[in-house]
Amino acid sequence: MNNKKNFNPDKDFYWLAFFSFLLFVVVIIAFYREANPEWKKYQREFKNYLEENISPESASAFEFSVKQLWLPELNKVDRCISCHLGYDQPNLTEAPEPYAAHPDILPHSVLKMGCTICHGGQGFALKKKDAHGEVEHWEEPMLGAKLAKKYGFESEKILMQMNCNTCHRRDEDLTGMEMINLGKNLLTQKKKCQTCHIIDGKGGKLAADLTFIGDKPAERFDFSQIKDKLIESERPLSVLSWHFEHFMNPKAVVPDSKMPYVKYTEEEAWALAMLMMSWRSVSLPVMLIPEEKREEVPPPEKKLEKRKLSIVEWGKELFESKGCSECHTIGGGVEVGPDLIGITKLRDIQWLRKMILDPEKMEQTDPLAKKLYQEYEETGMPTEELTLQEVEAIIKYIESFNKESN
Amino acid sequence: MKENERKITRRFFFGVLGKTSIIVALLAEAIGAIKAFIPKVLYEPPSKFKIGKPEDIPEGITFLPQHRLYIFRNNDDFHAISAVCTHLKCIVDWKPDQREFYCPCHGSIFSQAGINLTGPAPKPLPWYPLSLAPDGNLVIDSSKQVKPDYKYSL
Amino acid sequence: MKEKLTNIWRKLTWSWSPRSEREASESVIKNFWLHWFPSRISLRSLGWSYSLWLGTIAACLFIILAITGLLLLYFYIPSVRSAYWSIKDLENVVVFGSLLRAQHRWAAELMVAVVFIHLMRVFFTASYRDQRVWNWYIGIGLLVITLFLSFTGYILPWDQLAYWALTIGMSIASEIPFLGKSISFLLAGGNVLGQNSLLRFFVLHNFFLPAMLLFLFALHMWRIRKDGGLTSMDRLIRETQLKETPVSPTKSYSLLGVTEGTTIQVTTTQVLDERNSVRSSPHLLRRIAVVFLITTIFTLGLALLSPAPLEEPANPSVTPIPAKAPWYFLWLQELIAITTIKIGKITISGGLIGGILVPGFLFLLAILWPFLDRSPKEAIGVWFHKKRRIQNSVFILICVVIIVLIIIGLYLRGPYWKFFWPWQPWPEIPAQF
Repeated sequence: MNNKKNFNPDKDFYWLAFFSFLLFVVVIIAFYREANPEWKKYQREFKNYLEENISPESASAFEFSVKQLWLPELNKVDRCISCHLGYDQPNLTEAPEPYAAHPDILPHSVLKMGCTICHGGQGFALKKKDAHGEVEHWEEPMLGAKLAKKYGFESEKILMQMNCNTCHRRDEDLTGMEMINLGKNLLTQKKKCQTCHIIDGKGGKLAADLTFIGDKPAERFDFSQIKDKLIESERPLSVLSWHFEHFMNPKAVVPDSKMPYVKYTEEEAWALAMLMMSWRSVSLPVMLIPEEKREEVPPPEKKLEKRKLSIVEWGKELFESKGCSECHTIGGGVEVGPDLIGITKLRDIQWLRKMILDPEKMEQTDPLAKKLYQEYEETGMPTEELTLQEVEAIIKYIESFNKESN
Repeated sequence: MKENERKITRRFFFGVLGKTSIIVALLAEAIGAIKAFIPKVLYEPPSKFKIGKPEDIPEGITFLPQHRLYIFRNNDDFHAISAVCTHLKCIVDWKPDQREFYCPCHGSIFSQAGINLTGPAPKPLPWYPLSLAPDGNLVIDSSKQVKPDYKYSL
Repeated sequence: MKEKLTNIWRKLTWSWSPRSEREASESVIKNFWLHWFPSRISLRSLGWSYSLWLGTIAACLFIILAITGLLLLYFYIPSVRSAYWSIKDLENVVVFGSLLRAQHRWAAELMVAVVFIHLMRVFFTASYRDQRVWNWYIGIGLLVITLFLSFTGYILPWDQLAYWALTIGMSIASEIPFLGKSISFLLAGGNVLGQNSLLRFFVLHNFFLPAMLLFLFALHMWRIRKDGGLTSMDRLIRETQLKETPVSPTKSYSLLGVTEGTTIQVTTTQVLDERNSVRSSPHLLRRIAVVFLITTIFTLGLALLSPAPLEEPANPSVTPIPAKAPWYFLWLQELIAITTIKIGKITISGGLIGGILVPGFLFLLAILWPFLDRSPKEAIGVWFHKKRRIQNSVFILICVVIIVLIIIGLYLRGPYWKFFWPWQPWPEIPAQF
């Protein structure tokens, strides 16, 4: 080491030459990788397909490049079309995937909306796995066949309906949105969730605000009751599964839940779960709202048809639309609240009127109301906006059952 | 009388004036530069903020993400507990089963009243006072702290 | 014509490949870039096995970081709305963007490790003693700046990893007694972490810290010359048994004519001769070039094999489970998690103990050690000298503890900071779909 004879300067020279060459090799590898990205392989295949099946001219007109749909109003750039190359060519409907033409989705337009707004995924990515969102740390996977299979759905399009409804929330009975339509029907016609939950600014305060429940991150949901069940049944551990389980049996997911148990079929529960996931806050640029609807923000009230109703019929309508039937039956047993059969004879009619008009106040001040509150596990009866005539109608409706039972 | 040779000439006077001025000016510039870095106006939510009308707060426990706190409602009684862990400022999660707050960062556990039970958190979660604004909204003052038996009744 | 070109080429590059002894010695005087090298360098210092060339590797890593960083600067947007997406653009569409970012990331992680191993080498060879204590301090300064450069860079992608690492870091900073709250307020540019914080960290990462690093680096190099080179020289001098030369206060001994007397710089020139040294130009330069090439190939290779990570966009209302600091700070986070002491009603925050006091104590030890070291002069410039057994062992123990804490933090801590053995699976974390 300290002997000049042992030091050979040529050795260093050869090391230098060797490592320079190694650097050269590594740089060549880097350039090769950069020059042969994944998408190029698909584009080459596409060009061949055009050559053989369409025309040589179309093949030679095809240029290799990254193709993208840049939508600054939506703050999105979708590069799916770098591989899904036939999307806008109607003569390619029979082409093999991923080159097939996009099915007709009028009045929607791929050019104006991009891809990910409906399909999900990581639109700006250029590798298949990244773009389809099948990677860690991306919360919006493509809502396609792979994901549907995980949930046991056969149709590959079924999950996309969630994204449809993020924009089409205010619309009803749209084609192609069967599950969502089912969910909405269940919501408005059969069950009145707004009795306890706020939806769209209106509703009760007994449970969570559901207006933008689809935005709630997974970390804020409690999976402790259903985790093992989901893992065992090999269902995905996701918020969508959580909603499904919750609709099927609320108390199994949230042990002290006051949500009434409703026997839903599995299809209905999935429909409702998908409806929940679709309720996200989204700011739509005006250009995407169709002309006819631009004045309708906020959506119009449903026009009530003026019909001639008897007071009992009116009372029945109110009993259901105001949510009383959520918690009370008349002659059907105790649900969340007491069975109201014969209540007009059991209680003082003035007390009943006050109770229907402002139960929350009664629960604070009236001793009988307080006692009932305790008896029924402190659930509480929410106060609805009622006119005095409406209160009368409800009482008359309940009373009508007395005559029947006699 | 001064025996000192040095008289206060014009030259001397101006020399002193010039040197002092420039030193003070440069110092002031330096202080000005430093002051620029201490922000006085912040793009942050104010420490006193409105969280909506009492009627609109659901019963039970609600997490307000933009204010990082949990609002408790029991009929007409309200109280607010900060959701920021007193250890290293992660957001704690409410576990309804155990009725406790869990911090995902280092496993600190707080009771329903925000008392630190286990884990490295040194202090309990702070409670903030509430009040009612003239327009009917509930106001929380996160710059003040109250005791864990506080409740605001309508 | 060819002759003319050759002449011009010769004129420009003669100092890098000197053709005579005279040219070789003149090159270190006449070439700006070579002025910091000595004219001759001992074979021991030149050897691979003494210093392992760790300092050079660290410097090469910094150059790679500066170049890749400068290129990245053209693509990164320091705004909380755009930072994350600009990095996604780098990953997906910028030509060589993913490679650039990955090389930058790997070089940064390696630099922290190499700088620390370099410190270990300096400690084991007692190269911080006597006149080298100033260089030791400059080196510690360089270590601290390297750590802060790495930390400020970690924040810039503004993803979940960055945001919560910043939250934890700021909480530790605010535990500093007296000044803590003001420091974290100034660094964060406010009470909450947001645009101000990102911008301040961006400027720190890209200007102030590199400037300070370069300044201290220059000082570090200057000190090496002033201290008489590497400590392998000290050993050489001891072994050479110099004859006492009379001291002359007016005579200069070195090539540059600026030293007088019998300081180490003078003694060095007397000891080095044809048998035990070579000219710096070209031999030292060649080896530096080799080291630079190896470092470049290594970082580029790692970048080709493994891209830099990126998590979800930063979300202040959702803490990832678990939230961890970068690996070089994980030992601190682990300490903080286990050092909260409760004595009756008084709780001393782990943030203070593990985050400030323990590292503060180690820092103080590092500052004072050159004066507390009692080993003899024979131990300087020697690896694992037997008279330094005790202090070497204690030092190794401290390093091992830190490494073990880092490993625990990396691999054995799962959600809620619970302890998991390597064979225990972590609980699955639910996702949206």
